[in-house]
Amino acid sequence: MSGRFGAFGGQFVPETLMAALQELETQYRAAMADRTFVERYEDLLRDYVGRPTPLTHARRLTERWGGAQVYLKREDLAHTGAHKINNTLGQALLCQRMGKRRMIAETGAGQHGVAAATAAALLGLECEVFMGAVDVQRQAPNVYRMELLGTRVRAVESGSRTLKDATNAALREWVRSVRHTHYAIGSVVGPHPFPTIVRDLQSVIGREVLRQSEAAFGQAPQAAIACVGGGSNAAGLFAPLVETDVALYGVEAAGEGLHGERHAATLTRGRPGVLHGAYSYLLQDADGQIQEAHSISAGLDYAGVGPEHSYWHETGRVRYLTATDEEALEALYLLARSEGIIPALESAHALARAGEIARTLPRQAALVVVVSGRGDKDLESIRAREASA
Amino acid sequence: MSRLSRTLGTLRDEGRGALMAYLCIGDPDVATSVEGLVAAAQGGADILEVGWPFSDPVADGPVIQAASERALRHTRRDDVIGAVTRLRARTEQPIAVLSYCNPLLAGGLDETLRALADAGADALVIPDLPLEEAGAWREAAAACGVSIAPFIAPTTDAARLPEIARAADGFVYAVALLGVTGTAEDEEETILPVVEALRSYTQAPVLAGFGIRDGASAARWRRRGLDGVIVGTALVAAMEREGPVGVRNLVRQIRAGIDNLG
Repeated sequence: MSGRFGAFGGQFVPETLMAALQELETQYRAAMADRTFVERYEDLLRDYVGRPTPLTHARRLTERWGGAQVYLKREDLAHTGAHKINNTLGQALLCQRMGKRRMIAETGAGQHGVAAATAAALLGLECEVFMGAVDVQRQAPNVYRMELLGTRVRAVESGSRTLKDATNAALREWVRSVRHTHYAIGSVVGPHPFPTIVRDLQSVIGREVLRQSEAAFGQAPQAAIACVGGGSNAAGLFAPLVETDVALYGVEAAGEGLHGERHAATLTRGRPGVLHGAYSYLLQDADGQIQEAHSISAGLDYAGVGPEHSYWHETGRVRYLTATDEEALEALYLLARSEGIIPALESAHALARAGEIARTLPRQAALVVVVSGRGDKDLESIRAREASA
Repeated sequence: MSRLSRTLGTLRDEGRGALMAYLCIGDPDVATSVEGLVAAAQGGADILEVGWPFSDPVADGPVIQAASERALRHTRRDDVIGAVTRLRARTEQPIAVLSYCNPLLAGGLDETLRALADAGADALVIPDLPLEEAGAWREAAAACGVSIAPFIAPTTDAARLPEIARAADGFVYAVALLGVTGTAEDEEETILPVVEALRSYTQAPVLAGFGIRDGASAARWRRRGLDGVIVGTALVAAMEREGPVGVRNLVRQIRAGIDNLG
């Protein structure tokens, strides 16, 4: 593992963490070469997470858009309601393998926090989750869920009190407790080897898409699309597909629009720099201070993006588009009413751009859209928004 | 020989410990923070550490985080470089600039390093730049006559020490404990075997930072064989309480602790 994706990635962390990152890389390689470890992970994905998740043919949506056949990759049906569990189970197994008894994590909307708490409970690990104080307020049900699972939730009061600051706090805590604690980062971000580990653990999404497409329509899809915050569900979809000729699209959050500063379109509007241990695209001011991101979806509300996405963006292998808060909401209503599926607001961003792509493709083509999570967690904020509209 | 090496060499010849004093530029405002570092020099600091405030200081504890947040309300890139210029004009002490990677990259790494060198900076301390990433940075810094201090930590693998030693052209920054800046000192002293192992590869001075708050704790690290100490959080807190006068008084007390070994 080189730790670099073109110019992007690297290990920009305090010296204290270097030994832990090197140990993690060594242990991860050994684990992946260990048939027993891999089987244990795969057994959990099947019997505990419920994989493979279905590839659902969205017939009414296809009819409405009038182009390619639309297929939904149903990560919303994975245990805990999102793709995040694919990563946390793998990392919790690694934590155990390294002889560490405690796992920490950061969370924004709480989906990764819940998935980390779940994996920790399953494997009997102590778990602490760092969450910005603002998010603790707006995602109260997930806080309770984590606590119910036996995890301690620590509200972070520094900076903008959201995901970026929760990540800072988790890194600081890791520096303190690194000898007996594993940091299970929640996306394809952070210092090497995290972007690689999380991508690999999420790649089950893309592998299943290829296998299920073959079974459903006898070939790979023509195009595939996923939302991008840090970018873990998208990286999991793309990684097995980048060597094929499937057209790949990522969708970033345009928030209230790209004209102002209230968005989270890191690749579309940012510049490369160093945040949370990696060199990647960032939302930053002229002086290199990190700017606050904004999105209706807490899971996309992040000023950074995984370094491999920066690489795919610069090489042009993946096209990165954006969807506004409003467009994501409309897509959420559309999927709910045409297919009976309420997606997470994050996933709704991918759906918001999927129609245009479907219409450029012939009817015999297939477009796969990742529904990265279910929308239950967002119902309260959607209701509040409707009430104030 | 650089100003930094001269200062450290003289201290070693005289058998005295080095004291590096940190303040965050712009806290509470740029002028007062410069006065604070001038006061530190008057109080007996040997090296002045200019803190470049950053929005996401992952190696810092709550005191320096809060100082950075206060500073960023009104402090820009040119203010930090201007602070170095003013300190260079008013003090003799070598100046180390502490900055995270991103503010140094944002204006173009070469341009920023050149501007800092022209302003009078002698060294850089970059807490999120481990040796493995430092190659291009070290070259760019060397081209401007500025050194980048390498770090050691209690967790540093012995296999990395030879290379860390090779990179030590000013001093080595020893992270004295596991944690962020301002963490209460623990009694484990786990950095000491790492320092000892490093000594077999280099004669470069090793300064201990993180958790040193007064004359007694500074003297303790001196007695343990460190070449000096770096004090940040305690001075930032003194600045917040009593301004530059408080900084001078605390530096005097720490100076006395180092010189008389408490």
